[in-house]
Amino acid sequence: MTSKNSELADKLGRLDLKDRKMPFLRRKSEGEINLSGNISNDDLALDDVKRYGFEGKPSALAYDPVQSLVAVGTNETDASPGSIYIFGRSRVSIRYNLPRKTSVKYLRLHDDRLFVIDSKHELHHFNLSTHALVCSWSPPGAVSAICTDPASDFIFLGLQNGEIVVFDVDGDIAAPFKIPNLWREHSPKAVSLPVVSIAMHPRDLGTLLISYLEGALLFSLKQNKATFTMKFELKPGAPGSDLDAATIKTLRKPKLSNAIFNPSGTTVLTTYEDGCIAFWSTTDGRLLTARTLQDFDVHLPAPIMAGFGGGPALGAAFTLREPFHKVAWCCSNNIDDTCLLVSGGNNVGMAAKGLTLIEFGVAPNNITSSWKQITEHLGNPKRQRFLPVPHNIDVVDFCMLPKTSPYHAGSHDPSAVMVLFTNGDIATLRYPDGEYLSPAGMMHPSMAMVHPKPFSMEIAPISREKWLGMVAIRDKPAEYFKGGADAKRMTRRYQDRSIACTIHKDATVRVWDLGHNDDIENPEALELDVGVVVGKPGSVKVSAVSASQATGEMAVGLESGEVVIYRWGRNKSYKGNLQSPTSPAVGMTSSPFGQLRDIASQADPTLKEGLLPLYLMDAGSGGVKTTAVSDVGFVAIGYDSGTLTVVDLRGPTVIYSIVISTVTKDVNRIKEVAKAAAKRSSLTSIAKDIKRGSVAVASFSKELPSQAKRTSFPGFRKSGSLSSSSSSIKEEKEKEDKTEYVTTMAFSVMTIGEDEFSSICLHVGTNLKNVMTFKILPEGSRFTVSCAGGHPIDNPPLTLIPINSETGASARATPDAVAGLRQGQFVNGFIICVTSNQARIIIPPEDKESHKSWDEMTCVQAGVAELPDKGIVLVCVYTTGKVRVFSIPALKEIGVFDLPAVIDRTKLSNCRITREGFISAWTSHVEFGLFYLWGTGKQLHAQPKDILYNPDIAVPARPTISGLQWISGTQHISADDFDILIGGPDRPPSQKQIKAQQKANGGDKSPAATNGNSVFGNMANAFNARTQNLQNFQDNMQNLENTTAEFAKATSKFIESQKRKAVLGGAKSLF
Amino acid sequence: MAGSRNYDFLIKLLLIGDSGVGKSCCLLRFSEDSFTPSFITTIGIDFKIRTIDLDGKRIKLQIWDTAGQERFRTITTAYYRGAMGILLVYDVTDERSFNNIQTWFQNVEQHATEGVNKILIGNKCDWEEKRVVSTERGQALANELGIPFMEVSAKANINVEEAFLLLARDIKKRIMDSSSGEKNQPGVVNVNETSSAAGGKCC
Repeated sequence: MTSKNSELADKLGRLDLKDRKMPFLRRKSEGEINLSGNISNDDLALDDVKRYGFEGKPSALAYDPVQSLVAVGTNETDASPGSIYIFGRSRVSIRYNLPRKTSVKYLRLHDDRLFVIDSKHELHHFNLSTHALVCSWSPPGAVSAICTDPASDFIFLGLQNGEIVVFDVDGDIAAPFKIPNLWREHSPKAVSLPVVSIAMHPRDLGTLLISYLEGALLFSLKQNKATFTMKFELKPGAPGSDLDAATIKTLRKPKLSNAIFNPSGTTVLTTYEDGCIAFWSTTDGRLLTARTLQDFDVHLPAPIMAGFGGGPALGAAFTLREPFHKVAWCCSNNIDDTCLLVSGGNNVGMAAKGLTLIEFGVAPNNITSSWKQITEHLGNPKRQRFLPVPHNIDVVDFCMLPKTSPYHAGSHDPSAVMVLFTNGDIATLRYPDGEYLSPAGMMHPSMAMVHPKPFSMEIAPISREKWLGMVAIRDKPAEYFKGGADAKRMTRRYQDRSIACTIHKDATVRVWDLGHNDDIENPEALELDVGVVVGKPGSVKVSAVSASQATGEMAVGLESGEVVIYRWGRNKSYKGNLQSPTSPAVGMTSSPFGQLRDIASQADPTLKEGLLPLYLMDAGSGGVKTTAVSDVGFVAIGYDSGTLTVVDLRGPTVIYSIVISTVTKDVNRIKEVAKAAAKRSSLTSIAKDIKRGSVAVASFSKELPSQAKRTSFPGFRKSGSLSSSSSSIKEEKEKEDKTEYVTTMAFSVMTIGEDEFSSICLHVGTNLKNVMTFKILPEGSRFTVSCAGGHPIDNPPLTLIPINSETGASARATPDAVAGLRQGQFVNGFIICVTSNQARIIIPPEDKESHKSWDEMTCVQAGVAELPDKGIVLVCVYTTGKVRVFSIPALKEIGVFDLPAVIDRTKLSNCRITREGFISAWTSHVEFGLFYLWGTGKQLHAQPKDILYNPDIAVPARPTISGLQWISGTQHISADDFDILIGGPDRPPSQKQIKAQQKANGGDKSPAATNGNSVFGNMANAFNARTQNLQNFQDNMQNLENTTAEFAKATSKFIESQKRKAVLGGAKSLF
Repeated sequence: MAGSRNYDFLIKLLLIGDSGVGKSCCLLRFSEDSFTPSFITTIGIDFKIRTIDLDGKRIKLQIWDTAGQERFRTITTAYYRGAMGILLVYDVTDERSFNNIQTWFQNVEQHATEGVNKILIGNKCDWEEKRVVSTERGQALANELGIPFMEVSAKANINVEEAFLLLARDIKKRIMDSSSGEKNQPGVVNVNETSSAAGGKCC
């Protein structure tokens, strides 16, 4: 040891630092080495590849169970109009932009049609198969209600002035049919009587439920008049939703807010602004019962008793209720077995936010049971539940996810409900028990980005082989969105996948493949619910995430100081299905690893195989600033208190823990001494002494016990303080005011200094402008960490990138590189260190090879990108959105370009650069874009588009009235009658009719045979179809041209014939 | 339809206690006279209704079942105020749930309306071999808190009905006492009584 020391000291004695060249630099002196090859400015062209998330705040939801697609409408932003995002299976997504700068107000999705009413009251119709905006139409007034139906080509729009206009989607024109303000006659003096809502009878196209501010009415299209009106009044003495006795003594007429049918169409529900809900019969329009969310029969005068009044969540004498945001009357597979799902209607100021579920159970038969029975059924729900929403935010809207049927106002047999919050977040709750469902692996990553919002993201490259195996096996419901197909993208077989780790507000980390604009082989997302694992759900904040490239091990650091280490594996605490109560925090007993605890038992019991929590490290050294995971089982953690800890996962053991400032101070002192000594070159012997001291320190720190205490270096201090100059004392005092902590870390394998071997290194950058290098060396069966030296720089480093100086490959500590160490492989490398004002190539531990400074700009993020077969470059992103590319290692500028204007500059420091040449940068609050450096300047709209619409899936037939109802004399109206009634007699045959016609004409012809026809044959067919259609219409049209009365007659005749046909077992279709 | 209510009193009850002690099972037994051995965590708040006859009066019991899990605590406490009777439930085979009764009781004192009727319930009393909390200890705690006590079993249908009825009877008595005489006829508004109504004073 001593001989080696003196030898080293002799070498170091040559104090001219420039003489100490690494092999690569030696080569450099022979001829300029350049790892950037001939990459030039011409290779740089930014492709706009992809967006994840939502640019604006989500404002509306719609779901189509037939195509199994979900649509999310967003608000406009400063820069762009509102958009509609449609998502299907795994990664299928499409974005449509509104033509004008407006927000999405109402959204409907039926078959291949997407309807949007924007905040400027314009209707837009998008086609999902062509991805085109088919038409836009401005109705004659402000739209206050919309009614669509999957079986109808017409959209009913209720206007602010109380009129209802109809738009024909098939012909893309306004239909001649109109309904005037029917409430005017009930309330001639009212200032404004807007249409509040329109609903279509679930089993009868001919009946509409129209509600105005003052009341609702049932409108018969057949008779073209209102059949029943429903006006809700609270007689004196009836409590209603009020608690105040004085108010209760008066007659009240609450304002209506919404009206819907029950799934079978026998009952109408109306909600009122004061929090009352009234139930009416559609048979004769009588009031059945009324309630608030908590109380029953509130329309009946009742005594007021002590302690009886008010809802359960009453805050003192405050009785104001929230408005109803949305009400859905759901049913199970049996349409008589119903549930009411309500958002809003609770007391204002109630601590808990959520949905109320009122379960009615199976209804008595409407025809045979008495009014009393029906009232009893509605007045005595089987069960009532309050389903709290996650994060306790106000709900503005929800959207049911029915299993099969698009009818019954989208509430038929739902499997889940998607809830939209005021802040634009979305949550998915299982129906009916309200369990929060994680979007991971169930939904597109964009949807997961609002479940809830992320505040930052990391990109962790994980090797492709590893990532393809990382498919979690867990108990999960059937997929919700199955529609669509991915566009054909190129297949790129990079060695690594860019894995995004989005860190969300609720302390979850979602891990998913960002892709390289290629086929994503494993589109799954993994979710790490860190809050639950540490036993503090909802109250922790993730501050650092890092992953191992080769093993997929992850370390998640929290602001509260815990670090959770995850590893892929089979879950021992997997329960199959939850049969027994989850034992709360039993595994939190301390284990023999000191600060480390085995927390495998905290794994999600529904997860069979996945990324499981392994160890919890709670050192109590303050919040976690940064973490680094090596591929060879070491995890380094930097705390904001300045502590640096290295954990060896074999064991696991804390092999090193030190306050970083003690190391940097000492290292810098040596430097001071060395410098001073250099000046006094005559006193070489002193310098030698000092150098000897430094080597001694290195060897001392090597000998640190494995659970290294926060050691200072007593012997070293002495020698250092002997000759520290007064100026450095001043500087140090300044520095001492600030705590020094680790800002960035990297593991590598390379040769340090004059070592005769390569070793595993940990490079550490600190906020006080030091880059330190630590060696991790085996010593017997364990590893020890020692400081190898440091290099002061001008600014805190943003990133440290170890590079192999011979190949340009990453010099990170891969298992191969570490295995090579045993064979004595020699890795020459350097670190690229980028700070806000310069890039610098450091040959660890202390030397500088080259640097490039810039004063005019501030760098926020940097990375190394590789152009295959050409070389590597350093990519630096600046606050201005500029990107500069430098050669390595000369750091000569190769090119400069701007990131697109859509980039959110305030979140630019969270941009990431991958080795494959992709830059991810936030483009809005919850959206980030992926850009490709080596592209061709392709814009986003030029990227391949996913397919959404599957024309082979038929829309199921609309439910119709039962045979019993038909016998009892209910007038039925067929879809075709409906088309004629609304569309007018001159309406050309719709696409649907033409299709049906073609089918009828084609008979049993197979599609292949039809395709085999000549062009003229097809044309002739089409002509025939049209002629026949017209003939079919002729009779009707002649009649219809006469008076309304005659028209009604004709219709009834028509209906008669239909009925006869039906009885005879004939097909229901007209043609 | 009949222009009157089909009950004389509406009483709101609340079930609280640790997760897994059997609150939902007690409620299921009382409202539907059935039992399910599988464990389904209650999420948020759940309520059921049963109308009973008590001394010639029709009493509608509206029973709120709360989630015992800690994460729902803020939500469940919001419901304390409207309750007229509270059932504090523990599991006789689970020491911890019994010890936590003190905490639950303090919660009630803090959030519920003053004078609310309470009862202590020890569930799963049929499971003798697993019992860790003796009847005597339960009774002692009830005495200490000054509330009635009963051991029940939702599974074996022991005393569940009785426990609810005992509480309902106590509440009815309290209400009758507090309101002067028999004026609580359905369909009659008694303005005098509103003076003591919760939230009767509007701002």
